[in-house]
Parts: sequence; C-alpha cells; structure tokens
Amino acid sequence: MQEAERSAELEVSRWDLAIVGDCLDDRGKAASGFLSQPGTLVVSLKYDEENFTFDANGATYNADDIGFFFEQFKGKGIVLEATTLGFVEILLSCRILKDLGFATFSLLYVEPGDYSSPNRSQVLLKRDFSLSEEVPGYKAIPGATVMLRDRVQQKGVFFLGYEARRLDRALEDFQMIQPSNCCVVFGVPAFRPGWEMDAFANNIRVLRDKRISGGIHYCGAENPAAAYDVLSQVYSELGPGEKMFIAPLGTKPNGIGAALFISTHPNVRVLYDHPKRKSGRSSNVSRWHLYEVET
Amino acid sequence: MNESDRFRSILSKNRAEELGYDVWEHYVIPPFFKRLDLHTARKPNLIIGGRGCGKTMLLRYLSHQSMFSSSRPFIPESAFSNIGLYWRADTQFASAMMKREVPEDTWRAAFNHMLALVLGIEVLSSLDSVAVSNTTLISRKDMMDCNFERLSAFSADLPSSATKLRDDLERRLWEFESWVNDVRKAKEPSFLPGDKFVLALIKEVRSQLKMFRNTTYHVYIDEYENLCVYQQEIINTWLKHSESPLIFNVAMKRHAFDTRRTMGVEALSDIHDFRVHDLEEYFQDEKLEPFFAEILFLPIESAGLKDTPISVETLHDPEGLEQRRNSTYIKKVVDAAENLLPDVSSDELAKIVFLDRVLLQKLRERIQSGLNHKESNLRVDEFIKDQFPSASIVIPALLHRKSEDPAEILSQLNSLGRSKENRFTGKTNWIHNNFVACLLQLYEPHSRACPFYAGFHTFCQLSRGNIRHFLELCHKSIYRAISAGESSFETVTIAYQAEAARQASGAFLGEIRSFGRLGNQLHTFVLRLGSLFALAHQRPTQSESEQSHFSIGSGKTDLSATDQEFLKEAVKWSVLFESRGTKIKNEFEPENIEYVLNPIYAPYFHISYRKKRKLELSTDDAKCLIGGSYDDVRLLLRRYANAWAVEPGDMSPTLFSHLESGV
Repeated sequence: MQEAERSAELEVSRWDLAIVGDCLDDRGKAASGFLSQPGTLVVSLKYDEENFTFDANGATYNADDIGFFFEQFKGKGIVLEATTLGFVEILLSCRILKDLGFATFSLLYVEPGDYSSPNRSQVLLKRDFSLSEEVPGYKAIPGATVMLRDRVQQKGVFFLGYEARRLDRALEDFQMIQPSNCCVVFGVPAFRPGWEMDAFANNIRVLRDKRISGGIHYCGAENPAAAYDVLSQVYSELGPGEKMFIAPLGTKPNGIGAALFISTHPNVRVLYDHPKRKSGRSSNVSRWHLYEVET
Repeated sequence: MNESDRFRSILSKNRAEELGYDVWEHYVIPPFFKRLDLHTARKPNLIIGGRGCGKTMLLRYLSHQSMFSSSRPFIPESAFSNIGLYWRADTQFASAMMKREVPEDTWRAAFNHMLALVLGIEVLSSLDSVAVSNTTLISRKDMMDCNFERLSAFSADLPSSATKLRDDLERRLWEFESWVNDVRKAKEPSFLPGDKFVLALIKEVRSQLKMFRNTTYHVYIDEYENLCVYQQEIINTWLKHSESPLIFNVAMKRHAFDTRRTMGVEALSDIHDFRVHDLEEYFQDEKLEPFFAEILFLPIESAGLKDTPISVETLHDPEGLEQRRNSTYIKKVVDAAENLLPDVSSDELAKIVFLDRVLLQKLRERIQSGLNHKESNLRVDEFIKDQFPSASIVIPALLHRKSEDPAEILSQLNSLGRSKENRFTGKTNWIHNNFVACLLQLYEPHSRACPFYAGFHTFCQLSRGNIRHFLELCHKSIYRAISAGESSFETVTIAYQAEAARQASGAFLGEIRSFGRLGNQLHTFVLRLGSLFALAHQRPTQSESEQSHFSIGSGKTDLSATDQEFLKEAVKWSVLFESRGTKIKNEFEPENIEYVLNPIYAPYFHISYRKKRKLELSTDDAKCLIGGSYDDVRLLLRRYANAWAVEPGDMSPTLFSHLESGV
C-alpha cells in the first residue's frame, strides 16, 4: 500500500488498462486524469443494478459474463480507479480478476479534501451530508446475493459511513435480519481527525433504535487491509452452519477490503443498496493511495 | 436489575420483528378481529395497512408458532382446523431471479421451486410446533412417524421421514441460493412444482394424522408488494385457485396492489377471488382507546410491575372479546391509562399559561399588539381574566380580525364574566374555535414542549391507529419519568409527556428517509409541508385555524404522473392519509381527495394534530412542495407568509432553517 500527498510521489508501474467510473468531483477528475497516460487504455465501467448488466465504453455485458470482458486483457497490467468506480464495479472486477488468474492488479484511491454538507453552519443539521442523490434500494448482485432468512443464523457486518438512512433502510426492508447478530464497523481513524464523529453521531439513533448488538469494530477509513482483517476475524468466529453477509456502506477503501474478502470467500454474500452518487459530493483533493493486490 | 431497569427492558420491544414468530404472549386481539373472519372464510384475504398498524403481528399470531405456542396453556381442538404459515419474502434475493439472459419460464419455475421449499419447510415446522405445544390430542411420536415416501414422485431422493425431509428441503434451499448466484456455471436444480408440492405434502399430513384430517393451511405472505411483477402474478394465480386445504393470503401497504394478472387468462377480481381487510379503516371504525390501553398495560401486567385492570389471558383469546366489550371493564381500563398518562383539558392548558410568567407576558404583548393594530386605547389588563384564562388566550386573534371591535370584544368578555349570553361561548363559541390555535401560537417561539400534546387520549390521536407510534409515545414518557426518579408508575407528569411527544415526533420524522425508493424526497416533502402548516398556524387572525390537511385544486400546470405517483407513495408509507373531501361546494365537481399529514409529525412542527380546516393548494404549489427547488419553496413560503400577514420574526428560526439552506 502506498500513500502520498501528491500523485507525483506515487511509485507506479505501467498499466495497460485503467478501469474508471464517473468523475463526479475534484478528486475523481484528478484520479482519472492521472491514469490517462500514453499506452494506457482507459475503459469506463458502469453497473446497471436494474438489468444486472454493465457498460464498458459503450458495450453492454451481462454481469454474469463479466469474464468475457476481462479475458481479453489477460497478462496485462490493470488498475481499478476506485475513487470513481462504484462498489459493485470494484467487487465484480476484483472477483473476476482473481478467477481469471491475474497474479496482480492495482487499485487507486484519492481521498476527498472535504465532503459536501450544505448545513455545516447549522447546529442541528451540521452532520447532514449530501452524498447520494437517490438510493434505489437493496438489490441483488449476481454472484454475491444473500438469501436472508430468519430461521437461519446469519452474521451481518455493516460498514458504516455518514448516511445512517442506508443502515436504517436495510433493517426496515429486511426484518429477517437479526440485529443482535449484526456488527458494525466504523472507519477509525477517519480520513481526517474528527470526521469519525459524524459517522458515530449520524448512526447512533439507528444503532440504538434497531438494537444492533453484535459488536462494534474499527478499522482505518483509508485501509482496505484493516477492513479485510476485521472481516477475517468475524468470519473465523462464525458458529457451525452460520452464514455471513457484508453491507459495505462505509468508506470506499473499506469497500475495497470487503470486495477483496468476498472474492476470496465465495460463500460470503453482500447486501447493497446502489446509491446514486451526487455530482460535487466532495471538493478538493487530499491524499493518494495505491493498493497493490496479489491474488 | 432494579424496578426501573426492568421497566425499561420490558417496554423496549415494540415491533413484531423483535418478538420473533411466537407472539402469543404479546398479542392483544384487536376489537375488529371477528370482522376479519380469517379462520372460517374459505376465500383468500388481502390485508392492507401501513407501517406499524399491526399487520405482521396479526399474521404471526395466526401462524402455527403462536397458535401452538408453548406459552399457550391450553390448545383447543379447533386450533387444528386452521394452521397458518407465515412467509416474508427476501425481496433483494427475489430480485436476482429475473433477466440475466435466463429464460422467463426458467425464472418462473425457479420461483415456484423456492416457494415449494420455503412453504414445505413451514408445513413440516408446524408439526414441530404442535409437537412441543401443550396439546394432549396428538403425540410427538405420531408426528415423527409420518412417512412422506409418496413425495418421492416429485424427486426420487426426497427422504421419507419428517425430520430428514425438512433437512433436505433446507439443503435444497442453499443449493438453490448458489444456483441463483451462479446461473452460468452451477447445475440447475431439479425444480419442485410450487403449490402442487406443498399441497401434496399437506395431503400426506392430513391422511396420516387424525388431528390434521380437516386442517386447512393458510399461507400468509407478508410484504407482497416488494416482489417482482411475475412473482406477484404467480402468487395471484395461487390466490385465485385457493381452496381448502391450502389457502393463500397476502398482506401489503396501501396502493401497493399493482398487478391483478395471473399466470392464466383470468385476472383476480375483488369480490370473487378475495376479501379485503383494511386494518387502518377498521381501526377508524372502532373505539381505539380501550385496545390501546390494553396494549400499554400488557407488558406491565405480565411482568408484575404494576396492578392493572386487564386480564392477560382474555387479551390473547378471540373469545375474550365479549368480556372486553363490557362497559365497566372499558371504563376501568381507560381510566387506568388516563391516570398513568393524564390528559390536559383546555381549561388546564389555559391555566398553565397563566401560571407561567413568560407565557403570560407573551400573551399580554400579543393583546397589546392587537390593540395597537386596532389603534385602541383599552388596557391589556382588562382582557386578562384569571377566572376565564381560555377566553383571554383567544383575544389576540380576535383583535387582529377586521370585523371585530376591541370594545365589543371586551363587552363580550365581561358578559362571559357575568354568565350572560356571549360570543366566547354559545353559538359563536370563539373559545372552542380558536383556543388550540392560539395556544400553539403562544408556545411557538419557545423551546419548551407544549402540553397540548400530552395525555393518553392525545397519544391515541397522534398515533392514528399506529400501534408502534402509540407505544413509543407512552414508553418515551415513562422513561422520562423514570429517569427523573419518578419510579412509582402511577402518573407521568404532563411536561414529560409533552417532551416525549416532541422527541418521538422528531425521531419518526427522521425515519422517513428510509421509506423506500423515494425516502429522501418524502422526508423533504414532509419538512416543507409541515413548515407551511406551521406558517399557517402563525396567522395573527387565526381565521383558518388548525390547518393540518390539504387538497389540491387547479393551477397553471396539472400534476404530472410522477407527482401523482409521489402522492401515492406518500400514502403507501402513511406519511399522508387520504380522505374523501367533505365540503364540496359544487355538486358537479369531481369528488375531492384530501391529504392529512400523519399526526405523529404534529409535535415536531408545533401544529395541530386535529383534522379541522383544510388548506387548498394549487397544483403549482403542490408540485413545488413535491419537487421544487429550495429557492422555489422559499419563495412559496414567503408568498404565503405575506398573504397570511405573518411577520418573519414570528417564525421559529430552527424550524425554517432547513428550507433556507436547502437540506
């Protein structure tokens, strides 16, 4: 894992293929710009949760057939631009890269300078962040869909961020989830000191009202490896016959950790709500992270 | 654990989902239970109701886990006549069973297979429930001896013993999950034929177990509306062809019955194929207070924390309804609830104002403002009547009205004092028509909670049939009292109740964001609408007092299909309630629909929870509240403020700030 204040400080290898998503804010533009180098093919990848398809530079593939897209790049150097890609694109890519036998691949992530909150000046609303436009709701992801049942012990691991309504809705829509068997993970240390308070304060009502009591974990907001470790720990403590699902509602690096964990643990499933990220959801650019993955 | 902690713990669970499947000990038979006629009807039932109205609790009560609960001391023979199977679909999993270049008929067969497995497991679990219950009519051995060998016609490797068959169906369910996840590489399971398999299983049970000979299984499918259309069509087909011994029933929110198509040529038709039970409508028809009081007292009585007038056993049993209809009992139980959560009469509310230095000063200022408005030299003191505080409280509104003269108002006030005919009471009844609005106006700029929202009867009205809202209001009030050291549970003071109502109202408002796909938009809409009503409550004249519902008239632009859809969604999630317009001025006009803001949000916005006067919105204003920009809404509020002569200073800054900055 590399961390740098500026992109120029990263030690990078040459990538043949850069997979990027929509550039919605300053850091997204900076990250995509950084990867637009001579010799690197930049492909824009976008998942459609309604139709279980993804679009790669205008060509539509079925999510179940994502291998057809990546197969053509076997043996090439690949980087996933995680700042702009959504969780599902990262998950499907990580999993297929592992399945296709790619020995390594990279993930780039750029921290925001600040998140968009229209109400910072107001005491009552200062923790309201404006990160998602519309949240279509929890929908299946082929290959990682959990069958929630109240007759079966299922351990839920919820990575939490600023938008508490996402956790609230998961427990509202799927009342077969047993809150007593769910744990939460906060990104601590946060990207910046103090930001963790926003995540705590925003989620505390839901945690209390829904009586989530399966444990609280912490892992660095910018650290996929720490997220992976937390998941490994929870996984190792599962009871006989107990299933596990992950709801990656927290930071992107934690989502990367979850995606990598699911790629290596095919029996672990995902619960995800596919938020439509808002344009201008953050401003400015902070630290750069480059994660090298060996499969 | 001390008494207070026990109390907290006992009251903490107020949702069916938190109680598990066996709700026998927690269920209070609602007064309309016999209207449901669920057990004798041989037709499917469609149960409609919003969040918190008790749908899930009812379905779980009817299911085998509760009917054969180990907590039920005596299981009557009749319990075997009808056995309920509860199923709530995992809709995100169900959503994976479509598209993905898999033929539609394969998905249909797959969904049928999933239902065969889920319901098959439930039928076998019902035998377990009976086995561990207190029935003496059948032995565990009888049930374990059942042989399901004949089911091997569906799949050769199905085991014949009940326990092994259930394990096998569980295994097949996980195998099915794996196939749905990997439809390309995993082997397609051998699909079982949905209802036919379940029916065959039931027939085996009926033929081998004497007590089940005449059993009808009722499947209760909760949250039907969240299934995909083709899945609903399959369920509809089963509804249409339901007959003993397998009858399907569905439960859903309002406005959620999107398709009536079946897999055949004939669609579902209301009268012939199912009966509709609208739980919220039933609640409106019944006197709610005794039922709500019983719900409040059940956990307290069960835990032995306090003596209450209820008899726990009668609450769980439909036969106990007659006894509970006894007027002496009703009075006792309602009186006990009133004692715990006392209501505040208008006179008491007025006296509280007179005893509060700050509020009284505010009243004086408002009267003075009214006198200035009329350029009158009369003194404020003349309008402050200690004997008639309610009358004094409505004076500011009267003084701001064009048609009223200060001297005449004073004369009427003096007539009231001399018990002579007057307009404060009698036909004109200024007090009755204006008191609540004037009281709320007095409290509005203050940070303290208004006692208007306190009281058992008030909590019933704020809840409007929503059991969860009611319990939250009660429990929050009791917690506050306990936290303040009042642990006797005899009476919760008015101030704690009012503060609890405000707190609960804010919490429920925050929950709107999680209400489905449009949760964010619904939340913003309620903030906007609530703010508009709050503004209406600030009118100095109170000429249209207590506006907390609206209708949509005409305007420059018609409501779009998306706007209509949004209003439907608001009703579906019980953010708004629909009612037929009552005052149609022109008989040739189409019947108007009125929308009532859920009264649970009233304490947050400091508005009346009573359905009194309607605000008529143009389509343009309605569209603005639904989807207008923040600037548009600010302009709308400013326009209404000007029209209603509300000074910006009269508006609570915390309430309107979200609109100013655009949350």
